[in-house]
Amino acid sequence: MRKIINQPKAFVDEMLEGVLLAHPGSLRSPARRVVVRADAPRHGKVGIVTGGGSGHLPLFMGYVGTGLADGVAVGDVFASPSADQVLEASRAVDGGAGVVYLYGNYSGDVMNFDLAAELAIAEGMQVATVVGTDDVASAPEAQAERRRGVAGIAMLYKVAGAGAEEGRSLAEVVTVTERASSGLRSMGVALSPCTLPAAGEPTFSLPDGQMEIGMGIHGEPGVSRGPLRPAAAIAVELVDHIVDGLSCGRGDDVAVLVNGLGATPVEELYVLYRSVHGALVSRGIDVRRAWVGEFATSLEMAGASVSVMRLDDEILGLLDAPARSPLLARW
Amino acid sequence: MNEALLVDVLGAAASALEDAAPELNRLDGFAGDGDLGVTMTEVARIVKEVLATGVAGVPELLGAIGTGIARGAPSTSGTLVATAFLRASQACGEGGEPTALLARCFEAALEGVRARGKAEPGDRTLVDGLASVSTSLEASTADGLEWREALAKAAEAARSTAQATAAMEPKKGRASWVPQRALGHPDAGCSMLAIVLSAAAARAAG
Repeated sequence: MRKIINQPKAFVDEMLEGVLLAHPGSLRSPARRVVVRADAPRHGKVGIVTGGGSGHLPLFMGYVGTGLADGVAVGDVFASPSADQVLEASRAVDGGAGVVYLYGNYSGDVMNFDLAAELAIAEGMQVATVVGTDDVASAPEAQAERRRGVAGIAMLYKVAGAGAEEGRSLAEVVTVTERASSGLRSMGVALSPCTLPAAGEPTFSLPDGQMEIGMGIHGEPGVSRGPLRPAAAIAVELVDHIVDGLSCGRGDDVAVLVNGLGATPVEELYVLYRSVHGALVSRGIDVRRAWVGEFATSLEMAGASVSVMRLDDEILGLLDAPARSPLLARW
Repeated sequence: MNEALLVDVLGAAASALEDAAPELNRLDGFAGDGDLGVTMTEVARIVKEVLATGVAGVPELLGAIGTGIARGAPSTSGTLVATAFLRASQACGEGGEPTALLARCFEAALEGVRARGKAEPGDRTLVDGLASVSTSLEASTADGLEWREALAKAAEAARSTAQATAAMEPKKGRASWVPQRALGHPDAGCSMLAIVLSAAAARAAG
């Protein structure tokens, strides 16, 4: 295991201490493994709370910032945070206008966020939930609500965060975020596994020269495994799967996000983006915005994912609103 | 049912849960990740801690236990048990005759766990055990049984359901990925429920 760590068990807490020491002006921690914007709660603004397992930075904590989420509950590596952490985050960000829980669809996270919502509502808060379900490889289109959430959620943070920053109501933020989510699809490819610090062994085995299309960000099985193919072929396969479900075609506007899983260089991501862009344009689809970089990683997994979001004027406006966080200066 | 008695009965159930930890780990290990006993040891510790603080009022006591578990045992099984206590706390708010009260608490717990875990009866989860207990308590209410007798019957229902799960294939959670491995062994969650209800019924019977 080649990792720059101390005690494996201290990994998450030491990472968190590092984040707070590096960004004292932007972030604070009101409770154990809970991080919120330094200026939270903002009176009258809808608060956005996210969270999930560690090991995916900049997901989830990286999206706590202006025009994005207000607070995050930080779980162990690849494990859900507790309902209590989510509740603490909710208390810390609730400015009286209600709180949106925005996170990825994994059973442990859903249970804990739902339980937290129950506890928060009992305390008199208004809580609504939007769950990211963008990974097309994890369930068929007919069961889209069962899909896992992956890198596409980065764009949902922008939509929800900008809406909340504009002063929209809880219901309005939820409605536009749900609409953005329903037009969002992602799919990834893994080239090598990752190793959890406390486990010390890779999460799965993938022989050199092989790739697995559709693998999840925790090593969940994908849709096909085979020899590693050129970037252009990978791009076409991913875009085909994504666009089929999106029923998106000539004249439609989209935003695209190409995401690295942790060990794939940004240069390679741009090589992939080049072909993704080409595959979309060849279908007559207009790529209005694009982001290329690391948005949701899986420790040191090699590979990438592609996310495509259908746009309308309102969603495009929200995507263009200012957003910044200490972990994602350019976002 | 007064508070002192509830504290006594819950304490006995918590002790039985601690004693059963190795067995629960073993049962969970056939198809799950083998840590149910670890989580339930933590749950039992939290239950005893809350009982020792002397929270006043039955709904308040059950609510404090639910919140405590949500805080201290954030795994899937901990979250489900926390949900069961929180729902039971809400359900017993209006008070009433003890057998009917127990039936209402377990019905609410069943609904809560079913919704949170997205499991249905027949999936071979804790929901199967809670469903049989809820049905048994409903029948006991209709038959006008005294609450101690109703609790004993509910424990019996939980035990026979746990045994029956040995022949069922898991359809939810981690165990559903390798369904055959669980066959021949009772479901760990249903066994857990049978153990705590048996201990509670034995203590109530005095």
